[in-house]
Amino acid sequence: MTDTLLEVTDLKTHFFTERGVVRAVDGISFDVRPGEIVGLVGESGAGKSVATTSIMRLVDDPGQIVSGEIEFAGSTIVGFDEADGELVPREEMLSNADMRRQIRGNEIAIIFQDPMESLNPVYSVGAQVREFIELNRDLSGGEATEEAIEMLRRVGIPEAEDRYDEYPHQFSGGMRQRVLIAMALGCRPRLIIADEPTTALDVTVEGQILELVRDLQAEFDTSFVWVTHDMGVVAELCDRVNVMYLGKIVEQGPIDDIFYNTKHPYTEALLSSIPRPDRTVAELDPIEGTMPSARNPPRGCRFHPRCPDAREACTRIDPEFYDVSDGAGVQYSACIKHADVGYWDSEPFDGQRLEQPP
Amino acid sequence: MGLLRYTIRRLLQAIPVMFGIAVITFILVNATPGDPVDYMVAEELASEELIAAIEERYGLDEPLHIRFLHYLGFSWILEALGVPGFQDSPTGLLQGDLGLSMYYDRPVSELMWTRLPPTLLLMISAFAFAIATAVPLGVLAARRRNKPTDHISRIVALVGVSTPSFWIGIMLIIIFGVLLGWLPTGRLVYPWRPPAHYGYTGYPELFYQTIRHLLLPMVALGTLQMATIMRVERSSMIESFQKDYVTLARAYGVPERTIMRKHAFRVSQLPVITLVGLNLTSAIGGAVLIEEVFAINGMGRLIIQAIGTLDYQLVLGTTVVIGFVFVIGVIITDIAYAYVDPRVSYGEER
Amino acid sequence: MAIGESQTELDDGPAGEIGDDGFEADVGWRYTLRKIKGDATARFGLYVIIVVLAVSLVTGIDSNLERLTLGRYEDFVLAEAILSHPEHLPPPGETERRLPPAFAEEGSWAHPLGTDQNGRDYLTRLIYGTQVSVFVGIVATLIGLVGGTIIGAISGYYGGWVDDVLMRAVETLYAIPPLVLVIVFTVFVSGNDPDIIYAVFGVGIAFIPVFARLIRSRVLSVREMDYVEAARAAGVKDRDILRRHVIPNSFAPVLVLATLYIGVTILIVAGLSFLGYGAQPPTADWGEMLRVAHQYMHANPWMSIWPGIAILVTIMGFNLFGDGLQDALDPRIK
Repeated sequence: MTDTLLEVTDLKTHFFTERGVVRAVDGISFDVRPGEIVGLVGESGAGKSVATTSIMRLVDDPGQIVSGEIEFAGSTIVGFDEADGELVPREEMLSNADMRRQIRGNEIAIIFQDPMESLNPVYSVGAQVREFIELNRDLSGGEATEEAIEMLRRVGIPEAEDRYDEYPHQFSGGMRQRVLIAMALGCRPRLIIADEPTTALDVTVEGQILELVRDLQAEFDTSFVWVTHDMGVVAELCDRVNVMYLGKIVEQGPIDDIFYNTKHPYTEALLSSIPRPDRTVAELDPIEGTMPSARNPPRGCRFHPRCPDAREACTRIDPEFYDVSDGAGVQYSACIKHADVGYWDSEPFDGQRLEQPP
Repeated sequence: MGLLRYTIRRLLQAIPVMFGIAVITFILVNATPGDPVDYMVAEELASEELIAAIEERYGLDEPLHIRFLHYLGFSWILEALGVPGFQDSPTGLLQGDLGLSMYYDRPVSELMWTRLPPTLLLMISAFAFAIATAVPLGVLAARRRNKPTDHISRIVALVGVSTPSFWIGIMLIIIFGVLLGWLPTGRLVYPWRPPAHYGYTGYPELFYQTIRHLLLPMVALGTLQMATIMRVERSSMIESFQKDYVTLARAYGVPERTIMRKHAFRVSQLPVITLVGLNLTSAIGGAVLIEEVFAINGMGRLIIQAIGTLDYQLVLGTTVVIGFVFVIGVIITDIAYAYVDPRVSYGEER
Repeated sequence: MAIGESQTELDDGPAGEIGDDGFEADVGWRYTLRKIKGDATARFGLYVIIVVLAVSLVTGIDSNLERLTLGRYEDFVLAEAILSHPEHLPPPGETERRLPPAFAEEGSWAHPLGTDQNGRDYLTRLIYGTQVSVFVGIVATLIGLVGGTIIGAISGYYGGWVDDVLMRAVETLYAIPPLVLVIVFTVFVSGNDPDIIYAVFGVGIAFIPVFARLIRSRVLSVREMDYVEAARAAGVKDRDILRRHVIPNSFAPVLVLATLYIGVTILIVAGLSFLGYGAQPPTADWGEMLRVAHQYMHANPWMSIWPGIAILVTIMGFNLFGDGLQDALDPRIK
């Protein structure tokens, strides 16, 4: 097994608000290997963005990383030890200054969702790209400028040298996103976290960006964590996928297995809810209900209130991450169907369709 | 180059605005009831000839539309161009003649030369004081949000907004002038006069005294501005902190200090600049009061006096001049805004 | 399971309840009241306002109101003071400007804050001044509010050239410094015979633009709502639509603005009185008292302190409460 670049183990990030504790990320584990694109899929509110900000340790009040481990290329970004029954940050954990200097930008870069808001309107685009490149690589000001122009060119911005001096409002949405990609790649990080970078763009532009990312990824051999709610994007881009629901990862595995050998009802539901050109509106199969708040998650399996396969046992038992690999890759699912805890013996929940035991 | 073009464009736009001000002021002033002649002589007692003489001297004997042309300075131009019917036309606005003040019996423009500079000095220094104190305090309060420093600054802002400026002036005079005797209790010293005018030994002493005399009125007038600017600065900075591009900068490892100074600060100034522009009008009202408190012979006092004595030409002249100054002030703030926000001068979206 | 319903029969436990996470409405009067109760500074502001109102009523309302609206007083303060507290009559032939007691010699507790240039008790005058300020503040703001609402509603609702014309006029009005505007108005209307009532109307008119702009923007946003279109289609008269739908929706921000502007009004009128264009002597008014105090600055600095503090405290109360109201109605970052 190749070295893992990023390893997240049982990460928990909670927000301590006036109205209660929001368990935005409640124990997720995944890893990223060098050169691969790992997807992080889920509906809004699943906790994807919180997960990514946790990796960068940019979680702000009232949020806090409560427990778990995050290892990146041998350094400890997050780690706790137990002392007197309480969790204490581990000593080897990188300090804030270290995070800033070593990790952020240099090793891990992030691309945000909204290209409109991610660029500072009062500074030129080129200056912003240059600033980050200069900061995160050992280049002089002039070299950084040249590099910035070069990156702008690489991401497909025409007349890059002229447009270097232009301002964000003079760029279209797709162009701005390319600028953000240029920023990220320009810093030559080993890992790029892309937080729904194409969600705000229309489909054709999205297609171009995805193609661009694939090319650049092959060229620079950067790893990606690609956050999205769009299974279609996942299918096009990712090598492995994590499906998130309400703060937990419910299924994890290689892309083909996830799509053709789905092992979790939620993933299934996501896949069947995608509108297809050969199906009419009446045949749409949306997932019923909405994701509940992470302040008071349902007891037992969090998905059970909306799960078509839910049974009484699901209301009691909190699923673990079960190894369901039966193909080439390692696959996990957090559904008690795959465990020996009595799912098949219990009554269906609320009159849902029963599934025959295998 | 976008900025330069924008500046020129604004300046050109100002011309019709100033013209409009001149016209509207003329209409308004001449629409007020009340007979100005009454203020100089008791009309019932004066002889016909006296009244006629006064009217002629101040041009009140001519019909309104003729007076309008005289006022603008068109009649003089027309006469110079040889248009018949215009002889002995007096000069007007376009020639820099603002008429004759009835109360002072001096040309209005002459009065302007002596009265406008003090007011400008006062207002500019007050705004400078306000900005120089409010911006750093506002930024500091934003950084130390909800900590003691923040609370103190907000109390200061609240008091500043709730206290009448003229009272601040009076109290400052009492404390620093009457009781402590550190600072003068009124009047200003003008740095454009020769030191000998005041009996000072040289320019250093002149400037020193200028500042000494300016200190209290500047603070009195500037406090309200400072309070409002500080509040906006603070909330604007806080809002900037939440912006995506600031988070992005942090995600790329930009040190916190640089983020504050560069990424958050510049953008935050936009609402502040807008506010300063809006405050210009109220500052004129404030100047009137402060001039009264500190016995400064500026435009503020002049306007009030002119209105009170129904001195037509003077009211007209002062209003027009203040209007012009105001327009220039707005243009300056607009240019400052455009300097910070490239979207204004480089408006084309691709 | 129906769409949207995510309940189960399960109960309790932090991980047991679905759907109900203790969510309470974020709007409505009850919420506003709750927020204000929780906001200490806003409460303090409210108390100050109540105290000020109480003080203004302490000396009785009718005779003063009558005099306020009908024009000048004749030494009413002296008369009232004498009638209620004969001991405040200055010694015959002597007009003393005294200093407050315990701080200075020549002071006495008969006149806790000293006397003014005519020997009248300062504290009493301060109290009477409260009436004038409260009256002016409320009435002028009301004038601005009503006038602004009418103009703003018409302008926003009908749009087109009506909107253009009205808004240009309003903007021009707004561009004139309020102080100057009111002085011009006073001279214009009174024939150069200033009195407090002109100040009240002048300030009210000066504030019309502020309210007009607010109402107009609210009207613009409400106008496009479906229920307004439905009402129109059903034949409801424009006037009634405005009255029943548009205006109640704009209430909240108008309330905030009005509260804050009562404070501003008091400030401006104080300035006017200071210049001699507001309350005329012998009316007791804080600004007027400061005008006189200014002349006696060197001789008796105490005279300048108390009216200023009165103004400060009063306006601060309105500002605090107004700010609290604003936070409660439109929560932003604090």
